[in-house]
Amino acid sequence: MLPEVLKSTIADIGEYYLVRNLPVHELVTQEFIDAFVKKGSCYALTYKTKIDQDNTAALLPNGKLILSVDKDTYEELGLQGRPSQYSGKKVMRYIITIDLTDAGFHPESKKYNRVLWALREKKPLEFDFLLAWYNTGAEGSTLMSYFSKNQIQALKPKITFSTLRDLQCPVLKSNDLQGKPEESCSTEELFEWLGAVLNEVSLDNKSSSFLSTYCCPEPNTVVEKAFLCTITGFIIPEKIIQLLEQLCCYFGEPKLAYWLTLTVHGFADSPVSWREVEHGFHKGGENLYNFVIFRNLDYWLQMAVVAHDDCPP
Amino acid sequence: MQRQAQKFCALLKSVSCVSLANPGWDSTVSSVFVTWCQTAPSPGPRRVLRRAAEHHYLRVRLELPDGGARPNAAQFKQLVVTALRELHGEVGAALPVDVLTYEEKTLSAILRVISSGLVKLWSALTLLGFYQNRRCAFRVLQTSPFLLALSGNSRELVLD
Repeated sequence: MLPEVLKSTIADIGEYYLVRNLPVHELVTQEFIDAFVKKGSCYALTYKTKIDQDNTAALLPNGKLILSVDKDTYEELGLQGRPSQYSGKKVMRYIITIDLTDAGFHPESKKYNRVLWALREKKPLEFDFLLAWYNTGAEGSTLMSYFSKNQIQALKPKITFSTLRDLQCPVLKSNDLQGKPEESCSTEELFEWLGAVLNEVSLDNKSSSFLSTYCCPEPNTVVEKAFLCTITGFIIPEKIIQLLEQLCCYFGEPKLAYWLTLTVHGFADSPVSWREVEHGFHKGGENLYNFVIFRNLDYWLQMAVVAHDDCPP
Repeated sequence: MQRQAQKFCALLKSVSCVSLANPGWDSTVSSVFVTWCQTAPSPGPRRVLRRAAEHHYLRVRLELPDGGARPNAAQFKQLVVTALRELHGEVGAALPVDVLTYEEKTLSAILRVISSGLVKLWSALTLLGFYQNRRCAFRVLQTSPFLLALSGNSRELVLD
């Protein structure tokens, strides 16, 4: 059984917004910056745009607006940027970073007016945006009322619960990352096992099986009941930290479980993966991390990326 | 215990602020897998594995004309082996491929292959054109060195 407090944290994972056909210049106006960017953490990501073929934009909580655009758009826009680091010899993609919280970025400055002109008149860019805003104070307008002229939709993350019965779980030791035969499993084995559980792969195959030879890493124990919760949506880091804190508190009272995990998948088409590190798609664009929290509150943080991404922090 | 939890979380936040130099980063690296270990109170080891993925995983779907027999799991695996044999001969057919999941209703599957055999498998699937004298096609929907990545695909996120 899940503790009530954990359930309520999951239920309160926060809503996010989908704004259709939002011109990018709306995000750089002083009004928007003052109302949202400077008053909390504002997150925006273009929806249904592919980082390897379309123009893409993201607003980071530190107030930076990142545009990842193809060569033609870049030349039409006329804003300063840099070539994408994954574009090879013939540069076909450029990254433009605009710091909205910069002291020199105000309505009287040349830079502000140039950016606004470029995005409003020179090359108007329009996207469907996923938006989320987090602030500690409750005052101020909300995204919903601010964008009421636009087509805005409030969305709740999709939450699914399931209980897995008689699940084979690898044995882990928090101070042993590489694992030892007969004693504990390594972090890579755990990572593969997690994938197998989430994809509903059968865990007990024989080495002679024709179909599949995958089996649960050794040593393992059979757990009578395991709880699996999946939350899908545009989820902001603040909420993930809240969830993580609640998960740590889960071990505040003695529990039978030895460890628990929390996996976070990043958007494959986001222009950044970790902080402001550039992200590309290549073959899959996956960027994800996973926390393994042990009963004694030791933890592992596993981070995985593929080509077209920098090494995570 | 509560205090310990708070301390833990404080540590946790600090993790994201630690930066490490990237020694000789190579853009051809196919995968990076980093593990941070935190054993309170002292920070634990960090382990970085590059290009170390033993397996690659593919999420595929078989397209068949409507009507007619659908392969069961064993026949599906046989079809994959046939595809490998047609393009890469007996050596190709000996490539160990696991059908981790297979759903007969949607004809979709998750395959696992040794990383060095990914290109062979992918090309063999792409070039396969017939199943029991009927036209067919394999669609590779997603591929990754991490099985976990196949459980979530943001390109399939539909919000309506």
